[in-house]
Amino acid sequence: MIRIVVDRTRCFGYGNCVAALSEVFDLNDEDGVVLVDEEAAQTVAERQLDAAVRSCPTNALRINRT
Amino acid sequence: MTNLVFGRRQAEALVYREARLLDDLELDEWLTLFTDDGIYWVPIDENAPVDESVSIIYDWPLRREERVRHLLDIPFPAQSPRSRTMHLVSNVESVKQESGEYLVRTNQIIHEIRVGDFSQVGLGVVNVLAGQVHYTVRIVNGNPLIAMKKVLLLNREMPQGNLTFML
Amino acid sequence: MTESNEAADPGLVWTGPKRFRVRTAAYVDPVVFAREMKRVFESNWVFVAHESEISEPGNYKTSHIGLQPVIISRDDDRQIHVLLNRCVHRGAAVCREQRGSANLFRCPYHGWMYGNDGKLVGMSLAGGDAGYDSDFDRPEGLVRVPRVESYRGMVFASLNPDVKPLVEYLGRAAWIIDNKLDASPVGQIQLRSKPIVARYPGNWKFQAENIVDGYHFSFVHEGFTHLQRQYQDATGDFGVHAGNDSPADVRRVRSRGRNYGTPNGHGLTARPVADLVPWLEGKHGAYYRELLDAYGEERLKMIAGRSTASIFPNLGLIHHQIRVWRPLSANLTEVTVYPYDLVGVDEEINRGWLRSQERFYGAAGYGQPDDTEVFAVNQQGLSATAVDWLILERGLHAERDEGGGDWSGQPGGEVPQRSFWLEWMRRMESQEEQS
Repeated sequence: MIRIVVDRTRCFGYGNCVAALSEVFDLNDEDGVVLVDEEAAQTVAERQLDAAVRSCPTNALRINRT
Repeated sequence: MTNLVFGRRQAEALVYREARLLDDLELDEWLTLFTDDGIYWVPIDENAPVDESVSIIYDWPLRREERVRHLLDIPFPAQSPRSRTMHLVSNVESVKQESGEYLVRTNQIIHEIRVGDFSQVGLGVVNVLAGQVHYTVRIVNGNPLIAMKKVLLLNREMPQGNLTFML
Repeated sequence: MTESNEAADPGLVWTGPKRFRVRTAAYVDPVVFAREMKRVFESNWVFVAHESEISEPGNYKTSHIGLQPVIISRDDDRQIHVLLNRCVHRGAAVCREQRGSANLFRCPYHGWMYGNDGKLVGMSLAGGDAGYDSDFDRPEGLVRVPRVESYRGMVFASLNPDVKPLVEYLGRAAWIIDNKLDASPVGQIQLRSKPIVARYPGNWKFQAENIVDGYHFSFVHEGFTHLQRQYQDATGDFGVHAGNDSPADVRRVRSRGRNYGTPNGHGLTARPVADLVPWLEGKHGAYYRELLDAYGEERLKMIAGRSTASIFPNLGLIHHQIRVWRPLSANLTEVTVYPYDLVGVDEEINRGWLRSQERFYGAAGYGQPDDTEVFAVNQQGLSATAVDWLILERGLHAERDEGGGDWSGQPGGEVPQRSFWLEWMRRMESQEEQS
């Protein structure tokens, strides 16, 4: 099981994660903060997911594998 | 080492006297304020090893003498005309070190002006320098002498103008 | 020049048979200053850093090309980038430190982020109706200076993509750089100390001219010659000004060697050691014998000699330092002296030269403050704009062609200054785009 942990205080909606992996990440139109599709996160390649998480310039994203 | 207490009042007497000697250009007497191995240091980077980093001034005893002879006896463009200076000394504290020496911490403001034709570039303008000045004071035969004078200018690593007067 | 032109205004630099004069306005006029920032600095090679200042990935320092602020950074792949220090969004400076180490430069205004290679890696709050449309024309990153080249670790940059290759531009000046750097047996220098930084209320060209001026020493530095006579090496000269003990000695020592002018405006003084034996038998005999083994006798004469260079427009070499002058306005200039260490040389020798430079070039020293004072005195004098010309005709009658566009004269003459002004005039008066 993969969980994407978002530190919402750090996210400033740079959208790098969206550019890297739009199947999993999106930005909330209201506040610009990241939205995560947890179901889709289970299905994409781990390498892609890692790259998208690493692309965050504010380190707001983390992966928990259980 | 005697038991002489070198507290704030004694420290003030020393640094006020030094300030007066500097402002009055009584520099031969100023030389006598230092120990035989006394260092006068105005660093650019006080945290770097002194042998690896250039300083504004790093004077061992003979260099201190050279500085005084230069300023008193030899005309040179950067002091023609001369500077007038006023050293203001404040926030004096004296703390005894494990070595038996005293660390005297002061804050100083130095006002400086070049005399001469005040209509000309570089003359007739008051320049202000500020910094912490730390003295390491050693009691030698009952006399408090400066083993190290360290001037930490606020703008030490920044652009300097003409500092050819006594700091 | 045709005959019909002879009566015309000679412009800012007046050249002709037995004639070399520079107009007062060249040093004082803000309109001239604005033009020279474009023509002399922004269209030309300008020295910006030494590689040892940014030796590790992520290291950066700031500098300038004329008035243009730049960041010189080394990225994670060790590539050097020269970047305009300005967020491409709404213009804020992205770096407020003079040197350091960073993975990212983050704009303080709206949080745009750039990698240490200058690439835009993030725009904050990019999505939504208040953000950027899907087809937004996203900038690539900080605007980069198009040309960056190094010569022996010295990094030059140019805002003009069409400048000629750096080595070609340096020409004979590269020989002086070689003489200086080969004083290290492995041919490398390292900038370890923080620099000495001074500002003076005078035009930048006084510094460019003066670092290769053999004529002023007996006058501006007469006081220093007295100190030398009295103290010799005891106060840390470290042999650098040996033989500069009186104005007469200075005349003799400083007339050795040759001055050079070059087609790209560099002014050079190459002064060989007259007699090698004292060097080899002296205090640092082991060091000089090592150089002798590495380079041979003829090269050692130049390496151990006293060469200086004014590399057009902003770089000077003298003693064991890199010197950079930065124009701030027609009458305000910043001079930065970077003492360097010679790699592979005893600590004692590097320390000796460091103390020697501190004594001469420091803000409270016995040399450079007198130079910068005279630059201010020059600027003061030039406020008498009713006088048109400055005279730079020393040795004009005895110049010698050296081939390849270079020419030479005796030290103490003004060949290096004329070299500077000829290139300056070419750039200021040219109708075409510069290269």
